[in-house]
Amino acid sequence: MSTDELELLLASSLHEDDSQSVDVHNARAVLRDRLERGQRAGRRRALIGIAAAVLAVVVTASLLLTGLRHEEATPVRPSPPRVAVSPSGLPVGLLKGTYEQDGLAGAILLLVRADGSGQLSSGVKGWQPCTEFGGAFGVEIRRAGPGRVSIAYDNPVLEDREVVTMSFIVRDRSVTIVSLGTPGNGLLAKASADAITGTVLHVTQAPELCSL
Amino acid sequence: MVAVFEAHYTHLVRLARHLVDDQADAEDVVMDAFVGLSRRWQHVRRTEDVFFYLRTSVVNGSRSRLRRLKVARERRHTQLDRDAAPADQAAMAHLEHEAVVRALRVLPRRQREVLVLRYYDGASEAEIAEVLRISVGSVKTHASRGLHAVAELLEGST
Repeated sequence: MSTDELELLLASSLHEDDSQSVDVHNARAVLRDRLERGQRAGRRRALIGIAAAVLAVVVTASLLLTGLRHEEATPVRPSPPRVAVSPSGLPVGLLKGTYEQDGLAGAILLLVRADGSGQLSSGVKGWQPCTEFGGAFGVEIRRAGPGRVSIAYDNPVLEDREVVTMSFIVRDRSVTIVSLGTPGNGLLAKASADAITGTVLHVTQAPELCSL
Repeated sequence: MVAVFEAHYTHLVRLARHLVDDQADAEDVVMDAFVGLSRRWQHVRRTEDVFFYLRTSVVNGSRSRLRRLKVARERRHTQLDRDAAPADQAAMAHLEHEAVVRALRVLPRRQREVLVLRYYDGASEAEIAEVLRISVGSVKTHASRGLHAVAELLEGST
């Protein structure tokens, strides 16, 4: 069988049943019914959508109102006072901490003022910050980098101002001394500096220290 | 919409019947195509696009219907083959046509679609390519292979 003959046979075979009638009348009715059902379903979907949207608005509004009422009813707790920071990076206030040196309990007090000035005092057993031998020195605290300050003995009479450097980390209302560097001849002894390293100073709003 | 239905429904049902083998399935597929068209009716800009849309819908709908009813269809084919087997029917004039239609049913889907669109619908290779979303070259390949397969099946059945 040639290709032309096969194509002719194929076309005539496929068209053989064309004489059989197709019920267009019934099909038209079925189509009309399906379209109407589709329209009804569409309207139903639209109504459901609108109802869902309204419900969502109502629920959101009621939640918001409930939240507002709850907010009004809840007493406002005062937030803790914020700690001011001096230009050096240290918190303003009296920084107090304790340490141990040669088996003896010691204390360090560093007063930091907002203008960069301050007072430093430290000592071990029997030491009192406001006695003749344990008074606080006036110091100038300057920023020496991030988390680092230089503390100089603020006494113009002395030639050597004995600068102490201190690295620290501030957390909330405390300052941890990471390292202390000192020439070790007056303001702060080397042994004391080693003992004080690692001490945590707590920031308090104490009055000025008494000085010599 | 009514005019389009009157103009194309019968032809599309017959086209679908060659793709799904069953009259009821064919009518369902065509009905789905018209329902789909009614949803997009507002977007129809050119009347010549309507038939292309319907023909494509019918081919795609037939394909998915065949996929769904594959198992049932295979059982029915076996029954049809058995019914057509008696030797006394071989002499009947239309047996050859039935053999051709049966041969079409066992062809791979693409080959069957190309042959039905080409020899029943009278679609050009370009139109078939557009409906089936394949290249004209692929249409030619499927047509050639389909014809060859039908010829072999007819030879085998005689």
